[in-house]
Parts: sequence; structure tokens; C-alpha cells
Amino acid sequence: MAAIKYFFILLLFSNNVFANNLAEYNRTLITYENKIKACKELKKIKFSNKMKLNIDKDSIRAGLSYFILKNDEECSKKEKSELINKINTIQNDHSIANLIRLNSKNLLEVFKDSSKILSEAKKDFMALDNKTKMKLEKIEAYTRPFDPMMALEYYLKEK
Amino acid sequence: MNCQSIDGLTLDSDSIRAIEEIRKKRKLANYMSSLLSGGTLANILITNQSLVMSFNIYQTDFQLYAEAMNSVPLILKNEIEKIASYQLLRNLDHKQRTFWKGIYYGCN
Repeated sequence: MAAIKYFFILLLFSNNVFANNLAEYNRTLITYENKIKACKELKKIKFSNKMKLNIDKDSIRAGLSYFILKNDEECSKKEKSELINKINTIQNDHSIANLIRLNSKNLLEVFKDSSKILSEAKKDFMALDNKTKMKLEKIEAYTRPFDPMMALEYYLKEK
Repeated sequence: MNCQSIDGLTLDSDSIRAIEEIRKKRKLANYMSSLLSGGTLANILITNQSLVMSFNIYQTDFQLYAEAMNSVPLILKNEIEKIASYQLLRNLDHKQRTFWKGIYYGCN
């Protein structure tokens, strides 16, 4: 009798753990999406730090290309990391529907490709000479997510 | 943003690579294929059609694309926007810039 009671308590506990895994996954998904929206709002802010950049256009482009990806990534890094952890956690949880686990795993593939682009952009930026890099790291676009066309107009006078 | 039609768009190697990255995101095809079927942007973004050719993209193609993107989950849309934003900052000719602006901003 005790064994049966123990079994049901364990089953109830297990079900709670499994239910929590799914709930946690959903929570991290929503948290990440909300953070993406918040980061997008930051891109609407206009540049205001007026400074003369005595740097060639190609170097400015290399800087902006790296900064736009770097800042996007950093803005939601914590939330994305929590989501990835949860995705990995639920893969071993067979009480969660296979379709949910598979869809979540697809997200990992999506994330993998974008880190490749960031690496390439970083490589191009790091290839610039130190003086140029230091100048670029002082611009406003280095510090936060930004709109690409706004940056082109502000730093390169292009539309 | 109002999207302009593009006559004779030719994609350079970096744009082609970027589109191939977008194509790899197969989930995009699942969400968008029914809405984009037959359109020029479907051929560019979803199918395996060769990208080494000239394309004519009409305002309606961009509008259809923007509508289709409404059904794409935010996380996936965000990843595509990252690719498009990186392309926009390159030294592009006017037609490629217009193309990537349409992909990044969508159309009104």
C-alpha cells in the first residue's frame, strides 16, 4: 500500500516537473520575443552625438556592419541564452509532444546561422588598424541597436 | 515604407550568399509558401531557383511579401532582418539597396 502511495506521489511530482519544463520553455520563448520588441524600439532613437569621423567610408561600413549585429545580439543575449538552455532541456523530456520539441530544435538551427554572420563582420572590423577601430568605438552606433538606413544617412550621408 | 518596383535586379555574390542563408531557414518556407506561391520573391527567397540572373520585382511582390511576413514568428523574422540589415550597410548599387530595404522594412 505504501509502495502504491509512493508511486502516485512520484508520478504527481514527475508530472509537475514535466509540466514545469513546458511552462518554462513557453515562458522563455515569450520573454525572448518581448525583448526582441524592446530592442526594436531602441532602433527608433535618432543619433544625436555629433562628431566628425575622419575615416574612410569602407572602414565606417565595416564598423557599422559589425556594430549592428553585435548590438542586436547583446541586447537580447540573456533572454536568448535562457531560451536555448530551455530548448536543450526539453529535448530529453519525452512527456512533451515531439512536434514541440522538434520546432524548438529548429530554432537552434536558425540561431546558428546568424552567429556565423556576426563572426564574419567581427573579422572584417578587427582587420582595421587600431587607430580606426578606436575612433569607431567612440560613435553612438557602437553602443546600442540602431536602424541601418538611419546609420547610413548619419555616418555616410547615403540614402 | 513605400516599396518601389525594381527592373533588372542583379544580385552580387554577397547578396546571393545572404539569400542562401535566408533559404536555409526552412521554417520560413513553411510559413510563407502558400502566401508567396508563384511570386518573384518566393522564387528568390524560398525555392532553389538560380540567383545568377536578372529579376524584375514589382511593388505588388513586395506587398505580398510584407503580408506573408506577418504570419512569420517574430524570432524568425528577427533573424532575417539581421541578414537584411547587414546587407543594407554594404556598398550596394541602387537596385540591390532597394531590394534589401524591401526585405528589411516591408511595405505599407
